[in-house]
Amino acid sequence: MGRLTGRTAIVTGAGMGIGAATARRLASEGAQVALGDINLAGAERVAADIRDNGGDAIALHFDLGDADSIKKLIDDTVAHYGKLEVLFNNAADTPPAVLENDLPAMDLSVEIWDRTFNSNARGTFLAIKYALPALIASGRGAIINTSSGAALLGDVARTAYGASKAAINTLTLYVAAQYGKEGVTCNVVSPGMVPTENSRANQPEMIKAVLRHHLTPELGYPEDLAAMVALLASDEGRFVTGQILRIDGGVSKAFAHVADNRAQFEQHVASTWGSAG
Amino acid sequence: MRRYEGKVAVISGTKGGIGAASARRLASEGASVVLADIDLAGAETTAESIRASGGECLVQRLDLAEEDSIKALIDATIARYGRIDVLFNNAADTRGETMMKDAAIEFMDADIWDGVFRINARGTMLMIKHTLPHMVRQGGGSIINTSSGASLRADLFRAAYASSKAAINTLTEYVAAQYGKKGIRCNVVSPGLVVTESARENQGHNLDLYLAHHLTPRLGDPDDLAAMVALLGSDDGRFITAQIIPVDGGISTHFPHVAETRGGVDGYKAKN
Repeated sequence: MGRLTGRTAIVTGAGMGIGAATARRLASEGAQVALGDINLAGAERVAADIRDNGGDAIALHFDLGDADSIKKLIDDTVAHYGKLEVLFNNAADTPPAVLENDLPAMDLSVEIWDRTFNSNARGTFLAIKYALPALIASGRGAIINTSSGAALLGDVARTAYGASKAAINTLTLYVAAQYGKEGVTCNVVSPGMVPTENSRANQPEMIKAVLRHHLTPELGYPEDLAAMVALLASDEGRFVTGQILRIDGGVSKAFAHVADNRAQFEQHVASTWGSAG
Repeated sequence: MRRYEGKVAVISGTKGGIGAASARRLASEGASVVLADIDLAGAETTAESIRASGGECLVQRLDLAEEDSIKALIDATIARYGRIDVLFNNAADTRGETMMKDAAIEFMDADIWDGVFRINARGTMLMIKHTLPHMVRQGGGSIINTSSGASLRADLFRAAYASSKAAINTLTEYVAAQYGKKGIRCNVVSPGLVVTESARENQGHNLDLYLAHHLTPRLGDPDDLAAMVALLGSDDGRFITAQIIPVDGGISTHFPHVAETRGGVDGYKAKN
């Protein structure tokens, strides 16, 4: 018996990365999982893998930028499993054509801003809106939204992406305040750098540059997010709501100069007290 | 889940509440647990329940006001188990006589302030200080500190208590920054109103006032904190550090007027 035995969960953006790892984790703890992704073949592969491991999963096509598609994902899941307890809004609109044109404010086109908000902010709002009746009916609904460190700290690019994720953070507070007494929790998981396998293998310099500003020895893995989502989705998370949970190796909590001064700090400690620590 | 096979956890403030629930949780996941408390008999009661369930534990008296007592706890842990994977600093000075004098700041004796800081802030710092060499030697570890919603929002009573908890929040970030690259993580769990069964029975009416301002249908249970502590102390929490994690029913995330105005919104929804 897992913590999620008998629960039904929707995971969006489940074809790869954090969504795929979370779908696997929820299924391994007993949940029935509907995997939504704009890349249906990717979601199918993950769902098939879950089923091969004895889990219960279905894959559904889902476009975060299309209200009808969002409604269909919710309706089809409820039709298939008869109920819904967990909604993990993890999908975001991040094809290279969008991200590469998500520029500093003066150069950012209104089209990119609107498209980003239409998917990330409006799409997440609609998924919550359409799922709430089933979540309330379940008596213990859990909504978890994937945000980003980009919503908490400024950066040189990806202006619209960061602002759209901040909208999700605030929406989370409102949903928590409005539906908490009806048994629905709503939280955000906010990842630090969680590189794809491809980046880990092919961009070692980028990984090194980013890693030095995280406080942990390693950057994140999708499974690190999945572990927290599983807690929040289960009864063990029933007293956690309205929170922005940063699973980010501490990148948002230390001054930016820490990485530059670390060697000097270690040297000071070693020369004053012998070996550091 | 058995995330703690072969791991050793030191937990302070274990005679009841969050500390006892966390000790039972980690033991149930396979940890050897050292139960520290100033009330040795209270910690022993928790230990008996752990042993009765087949868990492994050691009980040690701890006075957070005394560095020698803290060193003795860490030494006893190493002597018995050889390592410390998790340090859960959960003990605090919550004596009624202290709390009643921790009120209007113009009338607060400096002795009250000093006593609270000696136990909560200095005591937690020393627990971390004496544990770190072992975690560095092992190549890693997880430190979790119990703070309080009182450190995140203002209240009327307990200014010294709340300020000492804010010191713990900031200490947490510094420990994470200094020792993170050595594989040591440091986080805070910040409880909302968490009530035991006896508190529910004895203060029923008063608790309703607080419940109205939490977003959840019920107040917290010690097990709610224990679940988050168990995640943070295990490999499931390996990418989480320097965080203040409220397990508080959302009490610190909304405008204070929400409870008063909720009825109006419900009325609107009912009409439409």
